[in-house]
Amino acid sequence: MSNTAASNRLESEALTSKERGQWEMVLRRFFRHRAAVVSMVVFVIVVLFAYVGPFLWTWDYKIHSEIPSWASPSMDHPFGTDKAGRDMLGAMMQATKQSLNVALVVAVGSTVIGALYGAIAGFYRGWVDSILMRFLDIMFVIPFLVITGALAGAIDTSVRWYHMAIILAIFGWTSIARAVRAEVLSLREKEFIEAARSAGGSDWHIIVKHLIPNTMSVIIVSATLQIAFAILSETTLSFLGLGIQSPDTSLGLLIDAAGASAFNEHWYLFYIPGVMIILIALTINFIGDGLRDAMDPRQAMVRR
Amino acid sequence: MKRHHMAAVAAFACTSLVLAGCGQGDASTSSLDDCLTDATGCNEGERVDGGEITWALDGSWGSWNQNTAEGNNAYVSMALVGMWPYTGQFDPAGDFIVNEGLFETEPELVSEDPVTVEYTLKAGANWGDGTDISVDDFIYHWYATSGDAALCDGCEPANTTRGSQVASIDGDGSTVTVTYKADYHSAEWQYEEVLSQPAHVAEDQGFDWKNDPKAMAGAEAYFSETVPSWTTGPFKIEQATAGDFVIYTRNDDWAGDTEVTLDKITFKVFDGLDSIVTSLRNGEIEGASPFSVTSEAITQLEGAEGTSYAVAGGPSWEHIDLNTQNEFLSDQVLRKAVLTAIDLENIIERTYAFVQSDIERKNNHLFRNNSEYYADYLSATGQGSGDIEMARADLEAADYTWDSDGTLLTPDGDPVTLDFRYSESKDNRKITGELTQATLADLGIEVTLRAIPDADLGQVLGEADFDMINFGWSSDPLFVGSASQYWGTGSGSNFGGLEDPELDSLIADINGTLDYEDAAERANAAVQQVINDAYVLPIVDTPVVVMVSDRLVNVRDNWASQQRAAYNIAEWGVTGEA
Amino acid sequence: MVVFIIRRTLMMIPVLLGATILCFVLVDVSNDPVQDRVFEIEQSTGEPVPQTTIDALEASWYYDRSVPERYWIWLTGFGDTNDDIGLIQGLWGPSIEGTAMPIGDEISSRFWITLRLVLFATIASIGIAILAGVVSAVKQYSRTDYTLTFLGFLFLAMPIFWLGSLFKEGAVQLNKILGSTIFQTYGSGTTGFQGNGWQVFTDSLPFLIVPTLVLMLGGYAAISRYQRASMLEVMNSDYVRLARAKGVRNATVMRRHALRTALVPVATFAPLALSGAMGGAMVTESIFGWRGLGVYSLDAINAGDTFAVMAYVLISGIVVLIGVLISDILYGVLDPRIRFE
Repeated sequence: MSNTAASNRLESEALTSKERGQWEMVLRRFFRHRAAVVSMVVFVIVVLFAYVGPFLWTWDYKIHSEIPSWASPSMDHPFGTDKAGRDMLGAMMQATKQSLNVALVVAVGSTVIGALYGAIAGFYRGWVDSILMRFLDIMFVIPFLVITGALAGAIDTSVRWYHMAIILAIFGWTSIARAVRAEVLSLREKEFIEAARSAGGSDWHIIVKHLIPNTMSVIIVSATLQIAFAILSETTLSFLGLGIQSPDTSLGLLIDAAGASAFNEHWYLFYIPGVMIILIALTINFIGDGLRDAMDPRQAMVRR
Repeated sequence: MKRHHMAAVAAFACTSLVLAGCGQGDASTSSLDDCLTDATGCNEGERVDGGEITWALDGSWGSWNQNTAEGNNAYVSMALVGMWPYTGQFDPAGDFIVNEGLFETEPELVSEDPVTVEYTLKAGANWGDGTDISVDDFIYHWYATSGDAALCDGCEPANTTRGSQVASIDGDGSTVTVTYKADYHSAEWQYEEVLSQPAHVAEDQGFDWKNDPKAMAGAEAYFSETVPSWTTGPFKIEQATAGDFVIYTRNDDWAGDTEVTLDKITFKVFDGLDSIVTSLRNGEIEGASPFSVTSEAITQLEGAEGTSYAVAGGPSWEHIDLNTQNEFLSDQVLRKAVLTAIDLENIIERTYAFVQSDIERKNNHLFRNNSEYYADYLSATGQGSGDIEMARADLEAADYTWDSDGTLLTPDGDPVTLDFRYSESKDNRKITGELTQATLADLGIEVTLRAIPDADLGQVLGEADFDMINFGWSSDPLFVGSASQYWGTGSGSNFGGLEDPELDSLIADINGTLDYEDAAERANAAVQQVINDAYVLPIVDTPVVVMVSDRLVNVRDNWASQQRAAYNIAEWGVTGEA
Repeated sequence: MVVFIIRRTLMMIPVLLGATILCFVLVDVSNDPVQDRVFEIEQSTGEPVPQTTIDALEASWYYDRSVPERYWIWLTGFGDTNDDIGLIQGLWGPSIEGTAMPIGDEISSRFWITLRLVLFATIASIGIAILAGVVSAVKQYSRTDYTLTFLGFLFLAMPIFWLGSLFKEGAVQLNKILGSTIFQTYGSGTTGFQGNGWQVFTDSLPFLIVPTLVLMLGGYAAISRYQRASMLEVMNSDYVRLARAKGVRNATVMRRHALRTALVPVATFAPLALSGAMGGAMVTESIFGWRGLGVYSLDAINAGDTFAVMAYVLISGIVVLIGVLISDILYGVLDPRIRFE
């Protein structure tokens, strides 16, 4: 907090104390949303599986000559092994981790870009807004899979998870920008913004310290849903052969490598990563739904 | 070369009327499983008249003219197999069969200096539109592939190796004589393609191709865009869309002797092997000979009823190339040590052996393991053996050292690091890279794996942006041009930049004889030298699959033909049983 | 309203220009299709490609010019061309696939194939979504509501290619059980089939069922949540409560008052869903072998066929913008509170 006018400090203190109460209510409402709570638990388990699992499990995701090819699920290899001699449980942990890495980077990256972009557009309005919104239209018109695929294809070495994360973040922020702009357009006429401005707060200060915190509910919900979006986009691009490549790995890559195994004796290669993707996307959507209900009861879709 | 018989007669006798007493002496229907022992007679059977089938192609094309760079494509060559005027086909045993619809006899060498070849056209050989094939058609093909602006101004021929060497072409009735320039000495003179497009169609379209080089280019462009309505083969195109499908009906004007029984053949483009297998299992197609195969597909085919499949080495071979211009790999000692450390048996066991259980390591760059010219100079050198001790000993002898972490240091004390590149969608190449990475780590060399986007392989090779790379070359029975293209100093396809004057002179020798066996011997000398250079390590002939419905007979894979299983399309038929 | 439409249409032009410039740069700079083609030829013929041919290929694909020059020539066709390029002259430029597959012909024939797939799927998914949404809203918090909501979430969470692969294989197994070929798994119709509109349609039915089902399930969840929310909002509104208080029968209230109003948002959403689905059809097309626009763009990206990618970007951009425009117009027509400026 900068040392601007006293009135400003007063204002923001009032604001924070109000917020605390608000977050408590949000939490309470969220915990009433049964599906969201269950999803939260499952999601945490998935995260632990991916990030802590590798320390507990014998095998990593690499090929080992002592691992047999194409072993069905057993005690030694609960998720089976693939053709080249890779323990699939170890591979799943690594793949889930990489996919979650992508998802988290996309969620944070696209949210930051989108929120700032939307806030700036909504705050300045006028020609700044028109230019920014026209550019948003351009991004909206460009087919998402085509442009992300073309960029991934342009990387002249193996596509790693961070390449994918950056590409998806660069093209995935538009919906957040729109949502935040709409919020900011209504907020900017509110008294406390007027107050901050008359107290001499710089534009940047107002945007970052006042406007964005007050659009938090929109941002949090969008950011959550962004995780599901990133996981699904990443898998789809992998399926189309335009995603992450070995030696890196991801859930999409595992399904792609499983190929047409869905209905033969190597079914586990196809279903396990598929179910993991569904699990992540499903829990994330429920969590997002729960958050939306909790933060903005007017838009509630599923209650309790 | 006594192996080239007029197979038309044999094929006729074997496949149509008198099955008993022919071929392998067994009258009962054989299956694809017999292809190992009986490459040219497997899956033979009695055909009934009629039948409509669909054959899947695993890639598409965007031009109908195979003379041009745009139209030089394995898939259009398969799609046009029913009508194209080939000189002939190699059968799966490697024997050359002259096109029975075009020629009365095999081409004849009437003079060695300059090389002059005489072709005798079959009586009634025609374009399917009432016009007979004539010397003009030979001249048209020459002009189109000459690469000479005085003959064709604006043509984009894919290859001018033969076309640029023609001095003149004369015709006398059914005899056409091709005279080559003094430089032409290819031992493969009898296999040269001599026909492509109908000259009279070009004239009908208003192209004065004989006198106007620009019109010649115009005619070539016309043939690129136009679905061929003419035919010299057993079938005639009824309807077609580029990159999608070709539908053939029987050509009753065909001059060949083999009896054609199928009424209709549809060639349809499919995207991906999985789709082809699924469609075959679902009864939507009768067969395919795609250029790739996966173990997943094999598993699927294994369980499919009413279909058979066979896996065998296909028309290309896998190899690992080293970049001789690399700061470390410019040293032959290190190159040899690297290739020695690579354990090919282990690599093959974990990759290609999954689809072809009887697969063998490839030991000769130019001749397949079952070729009569095959000789193994490679095994004795230890390259590909995975013998780390031997590699270490060789390096030690050349003053290489290892630091305390076991990292290999050059005589100058620099740590050796390399990259390994492969096309991202090729699973087996990826595993080859991973296993190479693992074995070279034992030698103290750190290897970085770098995948190549599928569309960029040519670019990566052209810019020599690799230290080690795994990719494939065509392995058709022709070898005379291959050595100079792969290893000649300055050749556009010598991607690893090998410069070996001794090898260059050996390569020049190959082209200096008209005798096929002599040329093969000289080619083997070049192979020995390139092994000495430790430049290219062959892995296997890439396995491919042919899958067919049990309704079909006389369909079998053929690695030696660009048209693969479709090489004997006139003999294809359906059985009466189903 | 005519003024409104004209103004909006004019505004599309700079947006489309911007999109094509951005795409062109991103797609084009990383490609060298000439070198790649040369390598392919050498690989298949085993012999060198003459330099004159390489130069001619470069010239005919305009790869002898810089990227900005190439964009300019693609857009305008001004300058030294082979008379096959220049968007404003109605020319799409050369495809590296070859002259037998001109971009213009491909785009126009594939457009209808994609449209057929997407149209059926969108209509079906909207139908189901309305049904599911209304049932959910009417029986709010019931077991049915939860089940439908959960199913919606489930399909929303499923990668469409995964669902597609499952259904495709399921169709094959079903065929086997029934001993027939009711379901075709590849292509959009019998190869080379010719006939009048109705015959083409009946011919395409066995090919249409499974992919439509897949695309439908992938698309319905979002709309059904939308429908449920809007239905709930209407049901809680004063005029519906009033109608109920008047003693109008529940079914009548639902049909005549609530549903009619609650359909407005979904109706305006439909054109957006349709244009969005055309982009999403890429995956379905590639699984089921439909030679549609999506697969075309995918092949073009993989081959580095810049002009073909550009054609796709342009067409899909126009479709999306028209979708938005129709949606806005419908919104104005259906909701009397909105007026066009």
